[in-house]
Amino acid sequence: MESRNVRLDRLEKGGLQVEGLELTVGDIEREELWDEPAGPYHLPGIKDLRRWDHLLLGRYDSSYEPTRDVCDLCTFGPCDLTDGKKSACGLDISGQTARMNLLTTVMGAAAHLSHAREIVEHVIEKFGPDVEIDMGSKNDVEAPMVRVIAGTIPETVGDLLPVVEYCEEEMNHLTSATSTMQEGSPLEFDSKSLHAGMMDNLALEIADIAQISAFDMPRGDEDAPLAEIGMGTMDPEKPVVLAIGHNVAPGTSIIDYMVENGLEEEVEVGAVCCNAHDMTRINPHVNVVGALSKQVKYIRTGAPDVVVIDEQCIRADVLEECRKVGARLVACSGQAVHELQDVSDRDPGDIVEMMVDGEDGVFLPEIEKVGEVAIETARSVYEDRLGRKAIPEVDELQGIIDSCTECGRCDRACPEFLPITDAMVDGMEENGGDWSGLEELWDRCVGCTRCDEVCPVMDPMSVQETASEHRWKTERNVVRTGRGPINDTEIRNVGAPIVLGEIPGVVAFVGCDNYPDGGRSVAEVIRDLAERNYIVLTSGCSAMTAGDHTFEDGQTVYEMFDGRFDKGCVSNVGSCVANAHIVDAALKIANLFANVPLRDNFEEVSDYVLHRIGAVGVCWGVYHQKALAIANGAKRWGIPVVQGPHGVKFRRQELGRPDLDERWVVNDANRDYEEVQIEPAPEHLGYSAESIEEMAVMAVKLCMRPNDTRQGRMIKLTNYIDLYRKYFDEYPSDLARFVRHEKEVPLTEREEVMEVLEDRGWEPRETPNPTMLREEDRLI
Amino acid sequence: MTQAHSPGNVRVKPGADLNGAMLGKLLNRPGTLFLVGSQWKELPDGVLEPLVDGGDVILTGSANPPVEKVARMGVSEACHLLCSEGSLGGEYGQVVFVGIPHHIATGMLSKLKHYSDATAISLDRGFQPDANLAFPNLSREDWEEELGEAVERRSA
Amino acid sequence: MAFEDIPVDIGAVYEGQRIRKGDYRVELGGKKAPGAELVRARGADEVEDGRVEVIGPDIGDMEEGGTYPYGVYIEMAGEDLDRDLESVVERRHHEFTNYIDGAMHLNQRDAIWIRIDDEAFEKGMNSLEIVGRALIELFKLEMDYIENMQVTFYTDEAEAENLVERAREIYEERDARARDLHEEDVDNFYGCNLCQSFAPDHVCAITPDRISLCGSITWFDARAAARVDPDGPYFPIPKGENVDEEHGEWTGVNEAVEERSGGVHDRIWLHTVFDNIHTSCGCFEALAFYMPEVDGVGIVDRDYSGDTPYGVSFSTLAGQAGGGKQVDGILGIAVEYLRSPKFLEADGGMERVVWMPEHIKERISDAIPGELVDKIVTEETTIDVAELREELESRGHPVSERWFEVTDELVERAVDYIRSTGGKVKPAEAAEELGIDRDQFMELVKELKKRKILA
Repeated sequence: MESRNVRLDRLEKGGLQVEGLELTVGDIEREELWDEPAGPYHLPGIKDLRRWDHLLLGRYDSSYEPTRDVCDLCTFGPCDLTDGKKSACGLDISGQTARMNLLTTVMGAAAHLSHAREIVEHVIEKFGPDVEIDMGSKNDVEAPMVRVIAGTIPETVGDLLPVVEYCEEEMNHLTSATSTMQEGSPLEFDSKSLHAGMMDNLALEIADIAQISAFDMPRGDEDAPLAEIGMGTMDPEKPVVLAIGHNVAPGTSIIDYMVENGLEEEVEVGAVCCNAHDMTRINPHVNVVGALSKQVKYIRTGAPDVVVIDEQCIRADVLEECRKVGARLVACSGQAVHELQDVSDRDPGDIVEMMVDGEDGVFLPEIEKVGEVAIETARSVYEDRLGRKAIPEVDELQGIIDSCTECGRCDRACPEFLPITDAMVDGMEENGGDWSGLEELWDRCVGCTRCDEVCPVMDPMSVQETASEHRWKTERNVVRTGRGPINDTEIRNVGAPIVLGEIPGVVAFVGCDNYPDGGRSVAEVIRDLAERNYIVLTSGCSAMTAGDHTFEDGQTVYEMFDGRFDKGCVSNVGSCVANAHIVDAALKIANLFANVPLRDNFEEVSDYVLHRIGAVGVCWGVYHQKALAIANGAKRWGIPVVQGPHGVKFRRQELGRPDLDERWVVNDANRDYEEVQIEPAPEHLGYSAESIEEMAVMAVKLCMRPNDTRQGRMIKLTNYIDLYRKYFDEYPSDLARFVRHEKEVPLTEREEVMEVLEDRGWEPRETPNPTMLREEDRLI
Repeated sequence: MTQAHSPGNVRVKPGADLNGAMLGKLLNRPGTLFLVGSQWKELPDGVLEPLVDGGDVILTGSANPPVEKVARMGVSEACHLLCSEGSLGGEYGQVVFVGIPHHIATGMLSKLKHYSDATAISLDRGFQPDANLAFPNLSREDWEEELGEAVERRSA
Repeated sequence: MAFEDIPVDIGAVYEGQRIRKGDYRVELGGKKAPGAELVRARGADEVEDGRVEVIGPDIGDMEEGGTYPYGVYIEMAGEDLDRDLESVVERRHHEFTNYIDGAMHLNQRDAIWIRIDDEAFEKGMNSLEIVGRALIELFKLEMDYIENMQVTFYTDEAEAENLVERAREIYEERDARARDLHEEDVDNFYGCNLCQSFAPDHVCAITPDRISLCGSITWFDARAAARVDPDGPYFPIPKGENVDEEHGEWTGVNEAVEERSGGVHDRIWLHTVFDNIHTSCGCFEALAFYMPEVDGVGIVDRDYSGDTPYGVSFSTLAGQAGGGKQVDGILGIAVEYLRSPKFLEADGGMERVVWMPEHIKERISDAIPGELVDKIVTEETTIDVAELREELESRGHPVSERWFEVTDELVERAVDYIRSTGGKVKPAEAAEELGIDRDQFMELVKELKKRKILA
């Protein structure tokens, strides 16, 4: 035996390291699965994806809509840029407008990126860097964007830090590019806007996968629980803690303290905005008060004893509003401090005492203390608070309404031009005292308080609030809690129905609730599309809007439709940062169906998405720069975005030119990359619609892609025609552009349509294997 | 619906505000394109038809008034084509906004101001500084009166 | 327009419409009343085009909110029609009924369940005649080989029962015929390139013994579709010569795949998980995967979310197989393919299958030979490959006979050989020297390690 061992030692040294010997199928290591070839774009810098941007922007014109004629960013200025004049630094109106779009995108992306860093650091501080990134057993590709952009498979939350650092470096370059006398070309500014958008999307993914992993949020839950939403969900007779903002860290502290001390029955915890989504993802018993528009409205009811703010979408006058009702404010993030005293080094008990003694707010970045401070303060002060509010009593309302001077300033101040004066006049005693107009405003009001600022005699927003009191006091609907990622298995499940023409597309309703005419119509479009078998996704404030309206049987869309990623389903991915999963679903399709390598392969992945995946983002109530950043990211990945009329204030749309055939030429990978004509699909990359009806029609139209199968195109055209008729009462005049084969014309009108098309000289066209890239640029 | 003054930009041509008499005259110019949007119902009954008479009409958004149109497209699309000479299939020296929601109209008027030679007129109730001519912020009654006068002028 | 005298709208946009409890005027078939759909091809003179007959109470006569029997008997005639198209046409009855605004059709065959909503009724949809006319119009528009069509509805209990009974016999007949039709019996296979929309290199070869990977398209379906739409996504593949009977290699398939994949693939074996295996798109229902440790094949489907004995989940495995690539050892399949008599014929068929999720085993239990039923392991017993091996051995699964045994004699010979080479060993040479194959040599090395002969 001895001699054998000696021999075999030698043997080892001699190299019996047989190739493949160590690889047994049973224990495939993660890295071994990462046998993808790598593309050329590892951690792409500000200049590296220009070719792709130029291809995109060569097809889609940047349509500039300046909001200012002058530039006043440096002391040469202000410079007048009208009539083709250039500024003192040599920039023209296009350059300046593109630059402002970039600056706005950078602002939005920075908010998300800063959020991502804070979450990652918080997780590392709380649990250590080795928290495993786990998106559940149905998700093999945990972080598609990290894979594409950073070319790495993050295994732990700690692995995300270098990616955050990369984003920060890029964001610094991008910010630099907005400074005076740097970039001079509008096209290059636009390219940088797309780059900033991509950084934004990557930051979203980092933040969400970190918090899902650390806080055990749903991992692709196809039947995520329903949470209550509405201003009537919390019992104001109990101690009430209201969280505002986007960073869930303080929220986790509140939930932990509540649960650990068994206070679920005694204390009401709720939130507005994305925090509400993320807190319900941890504990569905947290109440969702509503979207951003409910922030001031809810504080003014006097219900909150303590308001906890972290970062983003917090009104600048939140402290003032809290003071009006005696609510204590706890600020937790350096992003929004409001001149409050830093009490990090004090004991929670002392801080509670301070606030009970009358301190109206504290700055408490020690997250672990927030839960105890907020809840114990609320428990101590709530009895004194009962009865306080910042809106008029019902019995004094008539007198206030009657004092209206009918000056019309409120109407002009209102960002949605709501007919406030008309409603006031109808509500006057002398006119019969009909308050229904004020009540109706309640549904449409975005809660900005601009009417209050200009009204010489009252706070019109509070007047409508009291007039609708009987409604919001009992307002309790449901919203599906954020499910997180779209599962690989769900994506596989929809592959066949998409190519067989059973699913016409994916429409994601994302972003803020700055709706031009209330949110009800958004919920209606969501229902309509789900009934038409679209896969409907929601996120952020839009997801709340969807749950805030009921239909027949008193049901919301979340009760009417399942929460899967499937035809005719409506699923909420979660907060703003969960928007990443919508883009990720598209990347997964590329990876799962065509094996397009993700690793460092941005261009090829996006080219695939643009030409093949019939997904559209809708941001009907766009208000924040973050919404622009998300949208610009989506566009770079090849996903078109439709915005509401406020979208033009971001100064740029990306419009296709269906009238120019030369813009719609691609290479056909099945025919040696020869150039072939395609239809204008998707027709636009960034579009602002003036009415909700136009938005719905455009959204379904933008679901078309040049790779659509005939059955797929047929169902897309069927819906396009039907919605066009429903809302415009006529036949779409551009139908001929999208029909490649007569089988694509809806069955019920095939004969008539074909007659018309043939009269116009229509000819059938083949479906190519489309790409804007050349063979040598691709890995597959 | 009252519409707001938008403080973003300086006026193209500081000077007189649009009024009904002036409008009646202007609308008789050849090469006038009307962009009629989804809020056309804000106009008093029976006013739109005589106002747009003789001009080309593009319907935008979900507008469906009883007037003959040359096309339907998004207001963004129409304005984009207007800024690319000859792309809209007509020579339009004058573009008139009717019933276009205020915000998107503001963006489009700014676009036309910077990128097109056409004269832009807004008939809507809120002041639009980026239009060559627009009504000042008017009460509904005053606005309806001005529009009525424009119609009268046209037929005179 | 063809539907102008129909009081409700007709179109694909209504397919997703649901009619909830409380919203319907009447409910037909379903769990509470008999129902069936049956399509038959008849002679031209036996079918009166456009005729609709209702036997039993019509919608207008039915009690509001009531449930009634629903037999739908559709007869069609046409020069190019044959029996094999009946089931293809019949399957569209579901879709076309759903095209009617205010009608909802669920399930199929003798499980159909229809609801007509109040709103449609108010609009004048008070007779099944209207439904019948709409169906005839839709069928004839979509399938131009249907020249004449007539529809009879049975809402009378006894008559409906009668139809259900007749339909069941015919379903069975048809299923038997489909089961009995094999690759040898036909001239053409069919191809489908729908998935090229997302997986540009993938071509699905569909034969009577091999349903499409997504489980949606049978040979009959593909044939019918190719006939209606000759330049559509389904195309005949003249099967050519069976050059490799063992693996299911046909010259026609090779040529078609080469042409349609842009030359990426040129050789396909239809019934194996090894070497020139069929490509996998992305929407396959299940995977067959080879596990060398047990020399057997496992099956896993999309609905199974746990790990497999392969050490990974469906998602991970699928990630390696998809995208129109030929990946040795991992094959995308439809669950229905497990019932095919040619299922992985080259690899030993069901006898080679060692593991599958319990719900799949239940679903296809009728297709597993009796003696194998208890020998195939599921996740309820183990998802660990070593345990699986022990389990297979103790259950006497046929694959255990294939296992290579490392005898003491072989160990001696191996050690001698290694000694003779002075320690520099190339696996291929060593295997040849020892009279075993390469994989077996690997196993031998493992055994040597286990016995601490190798460190």
